[in-house]
Amino acid sequence: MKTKIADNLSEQRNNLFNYFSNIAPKTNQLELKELVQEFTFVQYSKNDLIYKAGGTSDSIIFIYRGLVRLYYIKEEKEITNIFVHENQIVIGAYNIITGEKNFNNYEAFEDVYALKLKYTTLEEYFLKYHSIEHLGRKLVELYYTNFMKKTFDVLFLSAEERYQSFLKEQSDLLNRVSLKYIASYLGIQQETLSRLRAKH
Amino acid sequence: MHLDENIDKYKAQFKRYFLYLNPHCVDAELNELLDEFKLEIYPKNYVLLSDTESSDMIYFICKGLVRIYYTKEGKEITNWFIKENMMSTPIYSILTKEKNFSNYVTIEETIVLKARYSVVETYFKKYHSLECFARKNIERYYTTFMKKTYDILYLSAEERYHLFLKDNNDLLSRVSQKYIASFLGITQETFSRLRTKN
Repeated sequence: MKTKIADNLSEQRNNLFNYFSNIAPKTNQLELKELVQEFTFVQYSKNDLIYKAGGTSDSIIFIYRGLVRLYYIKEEKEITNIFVHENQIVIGAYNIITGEKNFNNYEAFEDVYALKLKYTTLEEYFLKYHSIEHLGRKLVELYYTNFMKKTFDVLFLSAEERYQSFLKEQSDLLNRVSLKYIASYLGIQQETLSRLRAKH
Repeated sequence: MHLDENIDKYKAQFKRYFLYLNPHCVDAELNELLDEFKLEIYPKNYVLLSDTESSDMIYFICKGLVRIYYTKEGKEITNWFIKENMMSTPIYSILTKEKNFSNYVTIEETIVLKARYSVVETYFKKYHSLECFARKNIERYYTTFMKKTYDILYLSAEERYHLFLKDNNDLLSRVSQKYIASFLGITQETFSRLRTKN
C-alpha cells in the first residue's frame, strides 16, 4: 500500500501545487514548483499521535488521504476542536510561530498519507521568494479566519445552526467520524445531535 | 495644527512597530507606505466600527485606548483592549468581506494613523520586506487570538487575572472594572475579590 501511494508522489505534489495556487493564484509557478519538490512522503497509522499538547511541532503536513483530529483535554474529557481532511494542511501553528507549547493533540484518526516539509525550509523559501512569502501570508490568513469563524459560530449560533453549517461544509465526515466526536466538535450533547439528525 | 506638528513623531513610533516584527524592512519602502497613513484624533466614546458594518480601515494607535466588544443576549462582552503601539484591524471583516462581529469604541481620546487595508496591501505586493512584515503581523494576530481562546479554556480566573496584571498593568487605572472583569470572563464580584487578595 505504502509503496503504491509513494509512487504517486509526483501526482500528490501536483495536488499540493494546486492547493497553494488556489490560495494565492499569483504565486510564481516556477518558485512554487521548486517549493513543492521539497515536500517528502510521510505516513501515520490510525491513532498515532502526530503532535502532543504541551509539545512542539516543526513541520507543515499536507494530507492527501486520511483524517486528523485535533483535540484538547479539559477536566479529563477530550474536546474535539477541528478535523483536518484530504487536501488540507496540518500545522502546529501556535508552537511554530511563538515557540511556546502547543495547546492541542493532533491524532491520526484514520491511516494518513501526507506530504511533509520542515517549517524552517518553508521559511527559507519565504526569504528567498517574495511570491512564496505572499503565499505564506495568505495561508495564515486562511487559518486565522477559519479559527475565528469557529469561535464566532460557537458564540453566536444555536446548536441547530451549527449542525446545519456542519452538514453544508463537512457532511462527508458523518460517515467517517462517530457521533460522539461530532457532538464534541459542535459543542453539544450527543443526545442533542441525535435529535437534530432525526429532525433533518 | 497642533496634531500635525507631531506627525513625524507618530510615524517614527509606527516605524518601530514595523521594525519590531521585521527588522529588515527597507526604510525607503516603509516611508512610501507610511505616506498613505493620515493622522486623526477621536474623542472618547467614538465608534470606529460597529458590529453591523464591514470596513477595511486599519488604525495604528499612537495614543489612547480602544475597546472591542460584542453583544450577546443583550450583554456587552469585552474582547480586547487596543492601546498605544498596537494596531486596530477588523481583520475578519477585511478578509471575508462579511460584517464584523464586534464593536470598536474609543474609551479615551485617541490619536491614530489610519489607512485603507486595500491600499496598504498593494505595498505588501510591491515590496518583499513589507510582505514579510504583513505575514508576521497576521501570525501575531492569529497566535494572540488563539492564546486568548485557550487561556479562557485552561486557566483559572485567578491565573487569568495574574496574566492580565503582568501584561496590562497600566489598564487597571485606565479602564473601568466592569470592562476588565468582562475581558477576563469573570464577574465583577470575583474581580474585586481577586484585587483585594493580591
